[in-house]
Amino acid sequence: MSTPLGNMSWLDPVRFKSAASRRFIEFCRQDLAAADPRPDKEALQLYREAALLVLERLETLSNRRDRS
Amino acid sequence: MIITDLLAEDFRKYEYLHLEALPERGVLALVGGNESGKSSIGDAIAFALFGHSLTLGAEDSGKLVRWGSQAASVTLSFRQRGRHYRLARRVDPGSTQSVSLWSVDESRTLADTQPEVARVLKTILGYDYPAFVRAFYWSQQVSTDSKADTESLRAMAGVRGYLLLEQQLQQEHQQEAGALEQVQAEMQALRQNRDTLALDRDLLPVLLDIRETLEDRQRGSNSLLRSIDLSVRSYPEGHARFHALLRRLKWLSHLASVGIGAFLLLFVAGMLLSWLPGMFTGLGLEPETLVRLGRMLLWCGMVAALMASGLLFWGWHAEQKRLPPLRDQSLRFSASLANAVRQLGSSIAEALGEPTEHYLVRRNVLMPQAQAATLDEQVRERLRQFDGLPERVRLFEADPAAVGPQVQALKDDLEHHNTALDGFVRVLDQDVAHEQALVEQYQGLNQGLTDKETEAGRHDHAMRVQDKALELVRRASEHSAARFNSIVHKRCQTLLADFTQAHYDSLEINTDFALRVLSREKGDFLDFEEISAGTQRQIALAMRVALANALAESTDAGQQFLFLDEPFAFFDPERTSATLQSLKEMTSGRVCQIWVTAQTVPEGMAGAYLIDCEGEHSEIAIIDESGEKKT
Repeated sequence: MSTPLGNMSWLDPVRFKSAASRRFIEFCRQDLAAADPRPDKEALQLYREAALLVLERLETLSNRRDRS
Repeated sequence: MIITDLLAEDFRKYEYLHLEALPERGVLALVGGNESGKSSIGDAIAFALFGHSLTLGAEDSGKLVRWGSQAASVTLSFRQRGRHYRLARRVDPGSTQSVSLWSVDESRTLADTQPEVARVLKTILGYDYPAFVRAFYWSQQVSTDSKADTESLRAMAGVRGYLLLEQQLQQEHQQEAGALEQVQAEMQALRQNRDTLALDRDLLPVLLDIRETLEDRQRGSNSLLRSIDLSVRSYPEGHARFHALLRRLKWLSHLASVGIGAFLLLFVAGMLLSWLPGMFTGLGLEPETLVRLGRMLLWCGMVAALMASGLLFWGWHAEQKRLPPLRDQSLRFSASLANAVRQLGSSIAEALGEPTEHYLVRRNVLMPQAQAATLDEQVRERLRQFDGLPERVRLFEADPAAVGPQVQALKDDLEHHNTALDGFVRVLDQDVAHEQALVEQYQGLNQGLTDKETEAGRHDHAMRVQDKALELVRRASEHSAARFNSIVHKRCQTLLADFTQAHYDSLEINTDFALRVLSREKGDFLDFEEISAGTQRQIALAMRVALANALAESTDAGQQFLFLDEPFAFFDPERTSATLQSLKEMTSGRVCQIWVTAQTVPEGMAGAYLIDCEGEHSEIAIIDESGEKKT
């Protein structure tokens, strides 16, 4: 999944099962597409790490809620 | 999905419950007091569909079995997009379940294992359990917290998870900042400790150089001692052989000179007699006799010449083969002695270089230069006794008896010199060991500092990621809130006004993610927390119904049932009646079968279906809108 912003496979919604994660992925896609100026490599790496952190936590919250 | 038939056996309080010919459109009111079994009907629906109730997970589903029974079973018949299905699920007290999904139209089993049923059911319905409880099943029992409605609405808006996450990330950010501060303090302490060492980084290499110089000097001195020792032992024998050889060569030289003289005399006499015999007529011998005599003398001269040549060759041979080793021996001895005298006569600075001398003076193991000069002069004075000794030894002119004591004195001085070098090396070793320990300590502190810098870098990076994550969460929340506000504005205003008897027109989430409602009377937004609990519940209910509608539309599920467990618990009669009226009107849309539980028959039930749960037996009756009971 190559885009002008590089490989975006880390934003593949299939990898995440909660609705909150999918909504966040949709937000990230729109946010990155609208980014002006286009983020450089370092900024994109930071964005990716931060987004994955959020997704991981959203999945954890979702699992915890499902269990309870 | 519309429920057409519900059959429950030995489920919770029900020994036998059969709700059949259920209306596909309308409000179904389940009425009864506490413990009458109203909520158990909702549990039976959830259990049949997903294997667990709202309060009991699948692992505890055995608790749904009626007391004293072997197993509970629920058979749910439903219609979805015009097709009819029957779902039968059974559980024993040990929570072991069996389930099968049957297609009534095709008269065949679609799935008969729990994972397969869950998979096929999701395909048929378009949603799973989490979506079901968020959109189509609402229970007052799990919403007793005063903040529950606020949280429920935030969850609907999709910002609840973000808010929880924001708090979590802020907490983690603070922890990370604390950890970074601690690491920085540790780094500062390490730097101070390192600076306290005051390590001179150039000193150790200098000390190692000095030690190498001293050790070289020691090795050279020891080698010189060994060489002198060997040479002095072999000197007397070499001296004797050298002089014996010289005497022999002298004697051979004399003999050769005599032979050559004899040869010359005999040669001249022989020639004269042979060639000029007339000169010797006076001797009274015949000329022939004189010629013979002359020839004989010539032969004798030849013999003398041969003998002289042999002696000369012998002498040459002896000089070439036997003298050089002796000369080499004397030369080595002479060189060792000259070297020893030079070593002893030179100052430390001359011998080891100025850095070594300065270091030794600084360490108080060597006298300052002025004092050392006096001492050096004394040493030189003492060494004058050895003047000319190396040259005399080289020529084997020194008397072996005199050489021994002189060389012994020189060796003693050299050993004394070596002992001094040993002392220097010991002092130096201590300094090297001390400096090495300092360097190791310095390197250890540096390594610790590097590790801490790496750790600080990790914390710093984690904080930057958390900062960015917080920014993303914040913006994603704002995005979700804006979308929620837009949906509410477009699609829920009418419903909200209907549920609140036109007191409130709209709901929105502001930039601080606080819920606000638009009051028609005041013409302004009020904080959701400020309004009464009943109104909060009305608004939450309106939003839940709107969400159910939205989900039913988005999943293209066709018609859909909605189960509301005690939604009127905090409502006054007027509000209950208004809400019921709104619900009845709603049933003309996608969400057309609405199940509602209540303690008593609420006002405004005309036109709704009433299911009385207060019967003595588990069987219930259905009462139609005209008030007649249908069994």
